[in-house]
Amino acid sequence: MNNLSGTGLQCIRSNRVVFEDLSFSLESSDVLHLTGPNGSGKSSLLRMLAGFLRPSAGELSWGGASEPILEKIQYIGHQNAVKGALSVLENLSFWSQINGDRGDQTALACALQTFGLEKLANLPARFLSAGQARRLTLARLLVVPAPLWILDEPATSLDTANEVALRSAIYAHSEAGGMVVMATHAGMEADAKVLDMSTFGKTTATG
Amino acid sequence: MTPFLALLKRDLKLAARHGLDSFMVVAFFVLVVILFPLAVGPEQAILGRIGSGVIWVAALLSAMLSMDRLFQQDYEDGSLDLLVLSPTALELLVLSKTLAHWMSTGLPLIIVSPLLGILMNVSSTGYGTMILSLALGTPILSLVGAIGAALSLGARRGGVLISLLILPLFIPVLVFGVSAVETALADLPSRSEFLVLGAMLLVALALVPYAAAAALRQALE
Repeated sequence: MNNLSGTGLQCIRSNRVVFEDLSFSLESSDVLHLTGPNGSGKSSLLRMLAGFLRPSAGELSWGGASEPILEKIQYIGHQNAVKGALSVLENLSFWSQINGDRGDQTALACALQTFGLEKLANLPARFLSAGQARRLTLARLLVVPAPLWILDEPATSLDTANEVALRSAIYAHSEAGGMVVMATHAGMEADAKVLDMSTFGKTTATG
Repeated sequence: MTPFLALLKRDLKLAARHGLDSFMVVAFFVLVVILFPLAVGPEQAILGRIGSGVIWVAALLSAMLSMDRLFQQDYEDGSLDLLVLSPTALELLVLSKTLAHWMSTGLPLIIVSPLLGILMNVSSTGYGTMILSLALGTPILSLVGAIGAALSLGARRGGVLISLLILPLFIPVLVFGVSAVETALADLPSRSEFLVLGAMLLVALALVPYAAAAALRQALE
């Protein structure tokens, strides 16, 4: 999958048009930032791209296919999907196994190291701080390789050092030909594409 | 490890580490059955007569007790999003979660049921049949309950809603489960009841994953 595009997308949530007539396209190596105020539909668009939501109008194309290709998408939502009763390593290796990985230990160790979690590998995840749990979630991106990353506010509760780690992971991913779509409030790279969601909004009710 | 086994292993591990959940189901089962001799009186003939029915109803209610947790936690912490997104068919993952649920709640019920049989003065000739009928019946409860659990995701007071949705569907399981034990107690073969229970289990196994997976996808929209 080396491109992703949407044309004339419309999203209606409980009779309210969140955005409409939204078009974008993404090629290999592109990083697309979604900006806009709360409620402008950033998360809705991301959930659309991951295939959870269907657009009420318009069309999406995942590299030419009209259905999302699940093997090629990694989604990081608001929630961390971290189980407190499992250790950090168990959490991570579970997600790699669910995605059909054979449990490659070096990939797991490497991902933990990138986000500075290697010393916490055997700690039950309920003892993690909010930022550490977020890093564990982000480590999933590196364990299960996929060309398209869909990130919803990935830098939430990260400290400066780890924000840099995240940024370099995104950079490396795009250098390797991957695509990233992310909703963000934080500062962004100068050469990144930006989609300002507030320009597609509309407040009239359709009901 | 295949995704099916990985999810099964994770859910069993979570159930073991949160040990309280399985314990609560069994404790509820035992307590409900104990209430009957206290209410009906200690006459052994009456207890022996109603024993198998009481045990089956109590098993059914205890199974309902834990049903709402089947998908709720994964829904709340975002794991369900990722399960839906994983390349493995969601139907298969639903089956895996249901199997884990049955192993952590249904199986303990089956194991303590002969003990409660003694308490209710059920003749020992019926124990084998009771265990077998519960072994065929409780997986149906978990499977059909999975549809209710998936449908009630995101609803307030989901647990009560599931019971209202699902309990009526369990009537056939209850009827044939109890009648299998009664038949065995009367020294007759309960083959036909087992065949009907087996058939219901196979139908549930074949249809439930699709229904529950569709309900889960709906819940995540």
